[in-house]
Amino acid sequence: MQNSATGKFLPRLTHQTLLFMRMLTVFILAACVQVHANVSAQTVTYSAKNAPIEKVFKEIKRQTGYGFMYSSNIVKVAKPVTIEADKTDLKEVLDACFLNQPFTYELNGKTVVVKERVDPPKKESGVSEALSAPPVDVHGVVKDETGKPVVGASVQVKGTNKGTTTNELGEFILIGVDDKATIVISAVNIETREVGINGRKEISLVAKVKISKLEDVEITNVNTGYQSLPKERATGSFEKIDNKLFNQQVSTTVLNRLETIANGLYFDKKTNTASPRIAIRGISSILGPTAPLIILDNFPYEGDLANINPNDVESVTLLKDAAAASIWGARAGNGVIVITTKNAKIGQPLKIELHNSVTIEEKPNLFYYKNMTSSDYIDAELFLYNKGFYNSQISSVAKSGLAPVIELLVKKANGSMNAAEVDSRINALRSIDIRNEYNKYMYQVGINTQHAFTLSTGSNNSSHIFSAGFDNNTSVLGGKLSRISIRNNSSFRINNRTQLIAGITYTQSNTIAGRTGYDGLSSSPGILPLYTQLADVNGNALPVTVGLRIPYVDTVGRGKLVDWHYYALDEHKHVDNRTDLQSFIGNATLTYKIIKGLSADIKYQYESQNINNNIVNDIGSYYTRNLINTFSQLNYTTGSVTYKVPYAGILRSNNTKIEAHNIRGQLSYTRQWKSHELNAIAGTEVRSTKATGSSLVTYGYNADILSVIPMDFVNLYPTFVTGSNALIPSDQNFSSVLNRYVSFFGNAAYTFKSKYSFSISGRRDASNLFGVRTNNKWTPLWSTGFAWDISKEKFYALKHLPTLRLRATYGYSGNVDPNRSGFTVSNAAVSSIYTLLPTATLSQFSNPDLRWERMGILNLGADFKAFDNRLQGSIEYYHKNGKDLLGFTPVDYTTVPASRLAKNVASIKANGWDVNISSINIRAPFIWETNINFNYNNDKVTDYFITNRSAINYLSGGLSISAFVGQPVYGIYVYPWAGLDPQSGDPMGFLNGKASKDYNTLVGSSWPIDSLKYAGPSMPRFFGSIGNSFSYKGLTLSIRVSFKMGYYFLPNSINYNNLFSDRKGHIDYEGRWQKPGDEQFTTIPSLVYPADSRRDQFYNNSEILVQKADHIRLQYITLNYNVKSIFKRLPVKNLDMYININNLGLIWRANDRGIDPDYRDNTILPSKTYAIGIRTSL
Amino acid sequence: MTINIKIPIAILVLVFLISTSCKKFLDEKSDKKLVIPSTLADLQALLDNSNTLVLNDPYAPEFCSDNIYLLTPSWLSLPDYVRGMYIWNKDNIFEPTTNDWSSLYRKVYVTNTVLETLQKIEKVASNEEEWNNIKGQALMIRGKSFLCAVLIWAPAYDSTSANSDMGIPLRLNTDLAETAVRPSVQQTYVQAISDLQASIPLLPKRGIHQIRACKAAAYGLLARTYLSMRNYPKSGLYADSSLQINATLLNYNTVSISPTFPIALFNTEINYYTTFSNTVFTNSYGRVDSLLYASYAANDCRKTLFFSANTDGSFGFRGSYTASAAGFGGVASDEVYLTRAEAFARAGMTNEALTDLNTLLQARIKTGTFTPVTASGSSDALAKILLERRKELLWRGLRWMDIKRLNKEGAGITLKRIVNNTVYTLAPNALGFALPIPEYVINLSGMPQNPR
Repeated sequence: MQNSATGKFLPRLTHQTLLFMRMLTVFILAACVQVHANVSAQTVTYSAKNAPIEKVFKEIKRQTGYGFMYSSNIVKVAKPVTIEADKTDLKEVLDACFLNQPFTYELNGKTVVVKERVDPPKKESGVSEALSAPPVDVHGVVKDETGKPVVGASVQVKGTNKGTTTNELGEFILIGVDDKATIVISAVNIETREVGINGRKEISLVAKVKISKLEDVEITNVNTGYQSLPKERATGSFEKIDNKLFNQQVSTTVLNRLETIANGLYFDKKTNTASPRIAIRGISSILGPTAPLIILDNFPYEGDLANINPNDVESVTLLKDAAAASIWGARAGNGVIVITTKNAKIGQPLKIELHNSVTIEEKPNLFYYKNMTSSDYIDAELFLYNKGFYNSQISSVAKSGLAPVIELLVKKANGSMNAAEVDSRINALRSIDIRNEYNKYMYQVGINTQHAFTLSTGSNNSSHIFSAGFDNNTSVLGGKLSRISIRNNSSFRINNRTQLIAGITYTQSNTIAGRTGYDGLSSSPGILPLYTQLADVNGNALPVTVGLRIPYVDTVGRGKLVDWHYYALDEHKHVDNRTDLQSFIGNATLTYKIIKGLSADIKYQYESQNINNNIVNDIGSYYTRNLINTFSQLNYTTGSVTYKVPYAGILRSNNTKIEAHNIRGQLSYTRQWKSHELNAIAGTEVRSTKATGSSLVTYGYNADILSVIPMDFVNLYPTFVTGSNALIPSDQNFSSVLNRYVSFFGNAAYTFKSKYSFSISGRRDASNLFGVRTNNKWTPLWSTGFAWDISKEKFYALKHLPTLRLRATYGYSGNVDPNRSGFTVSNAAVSSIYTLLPTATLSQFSNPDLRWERMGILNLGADFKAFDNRLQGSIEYYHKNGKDLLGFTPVDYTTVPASRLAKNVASIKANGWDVNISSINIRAPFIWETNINFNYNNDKVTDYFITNRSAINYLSGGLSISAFVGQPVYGIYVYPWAGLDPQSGDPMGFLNGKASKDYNTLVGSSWPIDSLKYAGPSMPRFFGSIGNSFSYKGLTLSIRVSFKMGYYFLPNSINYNNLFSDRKGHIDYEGRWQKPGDEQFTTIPSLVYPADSRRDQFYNNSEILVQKADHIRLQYITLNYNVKSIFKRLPVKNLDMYININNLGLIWRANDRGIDPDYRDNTILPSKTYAIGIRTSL
Repeated sequence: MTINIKIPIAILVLVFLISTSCKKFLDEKSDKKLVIPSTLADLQALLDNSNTLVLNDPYAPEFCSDNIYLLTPSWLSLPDYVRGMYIWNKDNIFEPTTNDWSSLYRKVYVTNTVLETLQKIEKVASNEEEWNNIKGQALMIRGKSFLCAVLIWAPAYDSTSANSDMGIPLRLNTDLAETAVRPSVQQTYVQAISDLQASIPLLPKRGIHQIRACKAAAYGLLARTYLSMRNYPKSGLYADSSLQINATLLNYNTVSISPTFPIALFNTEINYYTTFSNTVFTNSYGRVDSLLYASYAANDCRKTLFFSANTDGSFGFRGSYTASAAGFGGVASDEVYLTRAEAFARAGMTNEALTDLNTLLQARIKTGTFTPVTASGSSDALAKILLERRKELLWRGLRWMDIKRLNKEGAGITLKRIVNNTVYTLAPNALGFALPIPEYVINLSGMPQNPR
């Protein structure tokens, strides 16, 4: 069946794509051949009639790489050049150019120095030189009228070939200059000036900015990963975060910094604080992957983003609409984030940058947890004990752990401790709060140090950048991370047609896990009781109930077994959990200019990442002691112990390896003629990513002698406590996942008169996604766009808005979920211990109608500049139309062994606005700049072919999809609230319009969705951030505030079932209904026994709990001090010192429950961090 | 000059490479562990998955029966679905999505996948034995699953009403589009019997391991099926066929009483091994009915091998053939002996019936103290056989079926629960003997719920 499908598909591929492949191959080969032919001679092919000399210079430079050095005066007097050269030697061409000119030239390395024609020097000149005044060294600085340094201006000693250029601070040094000489300063954007030295050694010049300055706009290039194009000509929606904004924060990883500064990027941390879900412009997929594609320079980055040294990052670009992202095809459905690293430029002087910082992280605030008090919890345990709740557990032969209070009560009941003693001990526990214990013993202040070093340089034909980064972090739990990253990138101009860029990046990090955090330790019946003590008064570790009952463990085995207690305080000393990571990226790009405007390049990248996690649980660790005891066989008569698990450490190792190969052949065409400009690329790309993993357990491991003991993992052994048989855990596993993609892509942009731009792009992807029919493996995606620089039109009359550009794009992007298949798929499982033959489990069920998700995106944008460029920004409107989105639909598990199944069930529509405004409110000497990101997103489900309309499918508090037609993709649905029953404190809903406590019906699967109330969206409608920065004399203060508005959340409250079974209490317990009349003050239901899970479910999903999630957050404050601008004589090019405070917390929230809606109320919030650092340029 | 030659050659090579490798390149499997089941080995791997097919037999038939009882505090501390099942509530006694129904129909789905895929694999001389064996395993497991389900969610088989009583859905393919419907009890039994019968010529007498379906088990299951239909002659015939293959009994005198779970895993009586488990079967929760415990004679090995005393004087069960607190849901020869004995007794063949009973008891009663059971007649023999059946087959999930079928014959067994000072009863032949189907299933499929 599969064969016939591919059989049909293959001829189609051959026909359409091979023609293209053939063409590409011709170009690439031609390129290679030409490289050979051209390496030796420097020739020029050019013909011009009466061309301005500068144009000729430019062309020669382009073809040969020879630079020209000349003063602008010379150009003014130059005569037009007529030339006819066909592979003519450079020297001949130059001679022809200078034939009738009032000046001549001299070759100085690869620089053509243009100089005035002077008579050949006479022999006596040597004498006059000796007689004149001795030469001086002149140090100078060039600034414009606003005091901004003029960078890259040419500084020439008049009448000589001596010259230099100004640096980033506008400074220059001329060595050995005649003290009466005149220097000429010129640059594109300033009027040329001549100044006599007159014996001065320090010269300060104010250059007059040319009137034409407004046209000389700074060109912002945006990088798509395939090409770098000027934002001014792009039709799509690009969001660029430059180096300056990116560096206002300090962090070890790249992604953290984007949260508040990237326009349209939303981090959802409600379900996972550690690795938040990232969405660009809201949800594009219901079930598929929602994470955007991350591109590092040219290729998708497969490794861990934590490997990237943020100091290597030059800029980050978000590709938001179809025109911007469709070039990335099927994986771009959720948007693309392109990370561009720093590079050196050809001809750039040596530059050394150093960055050192120290970040201090506060201990986390564990009291953010909305726990009930220890005293209340003890009361609840007493209540349950008296009801006999623990009877079965107390008499159980399994001896599962019981809370300390229960153990005391057991002692009271069996008379082994007197009642008064028990009561006083219980009362003493009431004042203990485990969070204080954790704060005292487990948490510490975290310290991160970061050192980075970058060296970049360029010569006439090559450029190099080398960087190294060193990170040393100590986490709040005492974990250690050290990371070294080294990167080198070199670019070589082999000849005037060929360029080679090669780079390597190597990262190594070593992590040692620290102590177990407050939310990390689970014991057999849920979390540890809140009143648990970790240490006695002397700070010695106390046993904590994690596994078995403490009184049992105290005496079991009559001392013949290993200590079976768990000591939370000491456990980490016996667990050596190390993760070593090595990541390597090597890449090479060969670019060849075929003919004018047409170039071909081949890019190759190899990426590998190795992660090695070794956990050594030594003989002192609970993990090892517990296994040893569990499988010990004790002969009570002889007292001898037979170990089935050796009395030695256990090593658990996990290795994962990712290897990716990318190869891309691409043709680029850029041509300008008269009023036309065309930019086009086309190419093909092949990617292959392989992830392999293995995990092994080694028993009998001793790190000192590397011992190993072979084990029997196949036979069952009786366990110590219950005598039931069990296997010794082996946890051995291998995995191998291979993803392959073949893509063809092309895009073209045509600009007419620099006013109208039209773009079109298309892409086809194929992959080896499992189980997808081969002819569905290919998916075509396309986009088109138009941009109009209306302010360049004659009729344009908006004086206050001198620059206005309008853009519109439309296109499709796709999304594919590699975890879904149309076929019944079985997954190899661990081989049977019984038959010793392979076993398999069904992981996916026949679902033949699965299709790719498709998302059509319309984007309308306007870019503007006003008030002398002091106000600039963009406003974009987008409309997304998603079809065939995968969604879960509940299915009858009689038919298929699942309660819900993914199907292409939904269509969604979303629209929104992205607004980005930057303004300079006050300019010089005090500068106040503001940057505003404002985003609006409104999504709506338009179709959901769900057969089931049960209310219970919609109760997730907005954490999972609630696809109800006409409502947002993530919405909160709740039970209407009829108050508490005044007699019993039971929560009540509505049944047939009347208050009801019939939870079986209300929470039953036949209760319809229409009976629920829609409380609002759970994703923010409005969000964004405002950054202000204030500068005065080298001092800059940046403050960033973010906000999220127009959404709701469903906080946790007391759930008696969870309290009883898992010890998960809630502070709301305090305010519960206790007696008639309480219903006037409280909405928290009474305590009932036995707990009714449906009553809990009803209350915890009821209208009464819904809260507005709106909030404003102070994200960071950075104070930067540019030392160099004050102490100008410092022997450095630049020096900045800064302080950055991050995660400052909320400054306003709509809810009065003290909850940070970004995180929910049962997690540890990120702590405040304080960083201090210094950036130096040499 | 040379350039002109090199280019076309290179193009040809490249084009050839790309065109031939593109398809292969993309046909490489993405996850090595993933397989679209298509070979006999793939199918056998699915059938050897003990998590799906060996564990997770239904626990309701044992928990709803009169072998087990709970004390009020234990009952109160259990999840509400379990509490509800204990007192035979009229609804919400199964967790919404993972329950006895879902585990049984998961087994059915796996076997349907196997049977559908088998149709695409050609049977040739070299694979015939394996092909047959796999088909036989799938059919037997499917038949057993249908039988389990009909015993829980349908009324006891009654030939007078079986054509109108509602049975359970008979899924015979993996087609998602096909909605589950309820055929009659008669149709359900016809399907279960046809699956089991069809499996017999295909299966080996015994499997390579007891987790594999085999002829001895299929015969045993047919005997059980006909027993539940009260078709005793056929029941006896199939029991006899099973015993022809495996008549081994474990002599309890040879079993040491000291381990917590004395009877070793995979003992020789077992023809086919499956288990069911739940917290309620651990001895701190579920206690053995005290009258039942009292019915064992002092010289009965089972009295010590099966039970462990709790501190309050009650007894828990430890004699499971699973060597754990889990119940045994498979087929063992002791059950088959009792089935054949019952069939003999009901056919008036008292001697044959007593021979079978005594063969079994000889392996149960302490050596040297055993005196063969005698009976005054066939009905006396039947009564004694039924008593031994109850005493032998604890924690086997069989009592529920026995109560249902025996009440049809006027046994008048009334079930009674006392918890939290309330008495709940289930009268003989009450509608409550067909447990409510999970509401989730009813709601999605639109099937009719069992009448209350």
